[in-house]
Amino acid sequence: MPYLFKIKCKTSSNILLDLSNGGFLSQSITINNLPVGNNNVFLEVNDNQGRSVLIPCFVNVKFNDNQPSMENFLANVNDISQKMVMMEIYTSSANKNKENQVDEKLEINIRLDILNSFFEDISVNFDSDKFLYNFDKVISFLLGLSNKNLKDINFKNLYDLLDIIVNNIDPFLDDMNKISLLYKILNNFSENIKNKNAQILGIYFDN
Amino acid sequence: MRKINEKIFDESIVGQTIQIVNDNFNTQFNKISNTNTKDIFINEDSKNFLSKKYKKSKIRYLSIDNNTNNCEDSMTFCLPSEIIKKLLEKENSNNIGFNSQVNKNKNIAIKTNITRKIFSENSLDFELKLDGLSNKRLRNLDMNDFNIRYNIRLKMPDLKKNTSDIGSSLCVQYDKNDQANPNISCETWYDFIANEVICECERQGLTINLMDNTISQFGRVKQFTISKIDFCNIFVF
Repeated sequence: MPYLFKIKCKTSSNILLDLSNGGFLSQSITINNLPVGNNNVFLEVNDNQGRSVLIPCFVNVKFNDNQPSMENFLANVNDISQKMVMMEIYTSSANKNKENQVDEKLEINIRLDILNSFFEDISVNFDSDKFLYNFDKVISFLLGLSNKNLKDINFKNLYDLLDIIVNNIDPFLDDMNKISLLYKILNNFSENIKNKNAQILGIYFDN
Repeated sequence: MRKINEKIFDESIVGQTIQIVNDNFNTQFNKISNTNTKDIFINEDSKNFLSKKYKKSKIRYLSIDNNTNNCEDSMTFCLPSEIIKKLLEKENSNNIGFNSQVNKNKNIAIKTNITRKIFSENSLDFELKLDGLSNKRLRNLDMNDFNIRYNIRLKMPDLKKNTSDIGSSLCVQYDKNDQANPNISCETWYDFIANEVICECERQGLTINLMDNTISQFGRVKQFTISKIDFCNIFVF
């Protein structure tokens, strides 16, 4: 009976992201980029009965002294969902390295571009399978954005995306971990709307 | 926000209580049946109420019915099971649903201006629903047929410097689709030991303590009618 293996990492929001792009059946895999931190990489083993076990990998990943710019780091990644993972890996390193802080405006713009591309991609005849498969990545991405200093236009953009998520969240309604993360995003928005205009307040509260 | 709340509420099953706690707001959903009726209560930041000063003092809870009140003094909101049972019997309903959100700051969508400000540090939005036509969805409880008074305890700002501020403050409630016009549907009482304002309200909805000189005067006239003033004159003075 073959097992499906996945390499996962834990983000700063405690979300497990799949680094192995859907998993692998072979005995080995090579992954070139891991998030910075101690023991936040895991091996997930799944059997064909739907059971899975998470085994921690005791890995200490240090930040890269010669880290490329964010644009260069993402330049060769074409798959949008993989781009999201790479972005999380990049920011995990930048957040821990004071000399290599990411410009917040640049990070907001890149994150929004990636998210908008993802939703444009799945919106034509809404691809719910792709949405559900990438749900954790999208939520992690939104969480990373929701606590940033957002302009009104960014806020409205994010809120529109959040609305799409809420409209399609039904398969996860009994998964309180996922629902809690969604409320965490709304909580960050609530913090963010202090200085927003009335229209933005209306969008947040009325829908 | 409203859309996701409604989805989770519809998905929850009878007997279930869901609480989602965050820094800026707490969300709670309850679905209760008439066979195992329980109190509905919200207790935000319970640790804050356990100060030594507060423990020494027995604060009177403005109960709906003194004989049936199982709720503790310090709760933000409590609807005793006995009241819920009566409500279910009167409506001939099997289940009741409760959907609420405690906002822990003043970032809420109501219209304020120079003369109208939010006074309480937090607010509570809540609604009760009864059996609907479909299996999951519950219908809104029409408040006109019930004489229920809801007790809501909200946090007051530190009044050490400005005790005169409370003179212009008043508990009010807002309807879902009207963030501009508050309803004067509450009596307002103050608990200076717990530093809280007690809103005793007739309706459901967003409940908050506002500072507004004009509507606070209307509120005072409504709360302290002539008959009550006469009562005070006879028995107090």
